[in-house]
Amino acid sequence: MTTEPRQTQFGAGFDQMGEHPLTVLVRPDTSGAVGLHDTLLSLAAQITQEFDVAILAAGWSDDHVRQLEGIVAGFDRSFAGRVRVVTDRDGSMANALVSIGRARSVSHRWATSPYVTVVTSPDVAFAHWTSSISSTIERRPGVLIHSVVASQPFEVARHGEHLTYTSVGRPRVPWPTQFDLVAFISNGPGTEPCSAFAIPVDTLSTLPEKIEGPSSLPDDERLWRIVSTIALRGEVVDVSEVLQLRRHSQEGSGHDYALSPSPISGSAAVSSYLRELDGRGLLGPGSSLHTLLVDGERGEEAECGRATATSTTASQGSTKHWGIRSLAGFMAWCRRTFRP
Amino acid sequence: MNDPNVGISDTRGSPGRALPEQPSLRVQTVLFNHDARDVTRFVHSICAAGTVARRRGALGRMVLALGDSSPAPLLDRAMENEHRRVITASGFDSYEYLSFGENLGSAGGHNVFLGRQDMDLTLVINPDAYASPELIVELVSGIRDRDVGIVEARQAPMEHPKEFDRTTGDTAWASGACFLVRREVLCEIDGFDSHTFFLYCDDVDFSWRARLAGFRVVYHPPAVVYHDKRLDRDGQMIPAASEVYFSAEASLMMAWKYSRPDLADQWSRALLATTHATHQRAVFEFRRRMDEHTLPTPLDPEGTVADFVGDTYGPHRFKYDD
Repeated sequence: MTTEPRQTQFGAGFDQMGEHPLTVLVRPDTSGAVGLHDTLLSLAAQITQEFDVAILAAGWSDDHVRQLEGIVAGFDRSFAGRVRVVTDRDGSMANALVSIGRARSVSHRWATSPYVTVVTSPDVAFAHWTSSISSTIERRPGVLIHSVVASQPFEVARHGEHLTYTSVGRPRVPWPTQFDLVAFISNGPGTEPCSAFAIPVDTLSTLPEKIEGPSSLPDDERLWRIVSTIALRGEVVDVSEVLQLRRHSQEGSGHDYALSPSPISGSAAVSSYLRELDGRGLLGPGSSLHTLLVDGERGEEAECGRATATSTTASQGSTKHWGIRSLAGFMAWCRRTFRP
Repeated sequence: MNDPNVGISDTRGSPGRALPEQPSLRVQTVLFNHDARDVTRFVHSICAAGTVARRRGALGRMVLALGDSSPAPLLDRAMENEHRRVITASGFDSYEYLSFGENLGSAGGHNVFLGRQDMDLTLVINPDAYASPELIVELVSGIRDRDVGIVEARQAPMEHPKEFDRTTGDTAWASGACFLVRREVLCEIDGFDSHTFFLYCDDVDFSWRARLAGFRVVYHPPAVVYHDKRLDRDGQMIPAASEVYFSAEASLMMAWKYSRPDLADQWSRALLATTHATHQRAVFEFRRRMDEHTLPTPLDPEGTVADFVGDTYGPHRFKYDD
C-alpha cells in the first residue's frame, strides 16, 4: 500500500487533471475490475469531458490493479488520461470525501476539482450527467447539487472476463426528483443514493468529525451523514433530470439501496445522527431534532415542537422564541443560524 | 489477407462460410445534422476499439466510412483531415467521408456502403453511439459460427428489452444502433429496404429477411455500445423527435410486409383513435401507398420469422412504456 495515491499514466489528458470543475469518485462493487466496464464506458461517453475520475481500488492485489489499468488503457487516451487509480484509501467513499476535505490545501488534495461526485459500479451515468452538473456549478458555485437517479432491475452473468448486466424490468424513479431535506434526514441512510449529489469540496473541509460519524459506521450511513450536514448548513440546488441509473438485482444483493426506507436500521441511524446535532446546541433544553423531524407532523400547520420552542444559539448565547409554522421554516432558520 | 474462398455467388441460400482468421471490416455510420463534436467523440471511440482489435490480431483490413445525409456537409476539410490522422494512427487502413447531398435516411445512407459488398464484415452503428474498447473484438468473436449472420451489441445505459436465448444468444432481430453483419447476408438480402423504411424498423426487416435466408441473429452481451438514450422523471424513455411519426409509419409497413394486413388495419384504427396528428399522418401515408400500389410485396406468409407480440416484434423481457 502506498501513502500517495497510485497515479497511473494513461496518456494524453493526465497533465490536465485538476483543471476541471468536477472529480468523479468511482467505488467498485464487490466484483472489482470486471464490474467496472459499463460504469467507465458511461463516463467515457459523456457529452462533455471536463471532469477527472478517481477509482477507489483500495486493498486490491497488484494483479487486480493491473487488470483495472488494462481496462482503462483500452479507452481513448483523452479519457483514459484523466482516470487515476487510488490504492491508498480504504475504499470507502465517505473516507475519500473526508480525506479530500481535510487536505490542508488544494495542493495536498488528490482530487483537486472544486466539486466531487460519486458513482458506484456497475451503475451507469446518462450522457449528460457531468454536463448538467458542470453547468449548474457554473451557474450556482458552492451549493450542494441534487439530481435524479433512476433504478432498474438486472440479472448478472459472466462471459469470460466480463460481467454482463441484463435488464429484466423497466426503469423506475423511486427517489425524489426534488430534494426534500426533511425526508432525506428523517428517512435515514438508504433512502436515496448519494450518487444523486455533487458536493462542493469546500464544504467538506468544515465538517465536524462527530457529525461525519466514526469510520466504523457503514459507508452509506457516513455518506448520508455528510450529505445531510452539508444540506443543513447550506443551499441545495436541484437538477431535475435523471442523470444516473442504479442497477439492482431482483434478489436484493448487497449492492442495492433500499427502494423504501428501512424503518429499523434507518431509525437507529437517524436517532444517532440527530443526537450528534442536538449535542451541538442546535436546540434548547427539552427539545430535540428527533421530535421535530421524525415524530413531528409535516405540513404548514404542523405542531412540531408543540407550536413554540425555545432555541439557544451557541453563537449569540441568548434565548429567543420562535413559532414553528412548518418544518420548512425550521430548516430555513437552521441554515441562517448555523451557516459556517 | 482475405480468404479467397469467401465468394459471393456460392453463398446464396446457404449459411455463411468460415471467416478468415483476420476478416476485413468496414465500420459505417450515417450522419444527419449531428454536432461535429459528437461525431469526433464517436470517431475517437471507434478508433480505440479498432486499436484493441488490431492489437489482438482480430482483423485484417479495417475501413471507417461516414455517410452524411445532412443538407450541407457537417465536416469541413480540416475536420476530415483530423479524423483521417486519428483513424490511421489507430490502425485503420482507410477513412471515407461521403456527403450524400440529400437525406437518404438511415437505411438509404447505409445502403450506399453496404452495396459495395467488398468486406467480410460490416459494423453498422449509430453516430450517437460510443464504442467500448472491446466492441469490435467481441462482435467478431460472436460471428465466428458460420450460421450466424448478424451479431448485435448490448446497449448501455438503456438496454434493448428484446428477449434472447441466454445460452445461444439467438434473438428475433438486431437493433441497427450497433450490429455486425457478414458479407454473405448482404449478398443474400441486398441491404436495407430503404424504399419502405426511412428510419425505423429497417433493422427488424433486415434481420427477419436474414433469418428467412437461413442465418441466425445473435445477441452478444459482452460487446457493449453506449447509446445516448435518456429517461424523463417518470422513468420513461425520451423519444427522438422523429420517432413518433416514423415508428408509427414503420409499424404499419411491417405488418403489411410480413403478411399481416389484419394487424395493419387494427393498428391503423388504433393510431387514428389517438387523434394525435402525427399518428394520423402516418396512417394517411400508409393508405396513400396502398392506393398507389407502392407497398412492398408481402413476405413470410407462414409467419416463420415474423413474430408480432402485441405491438412489438418478437417477445420482450419488459416494455419501457408499461
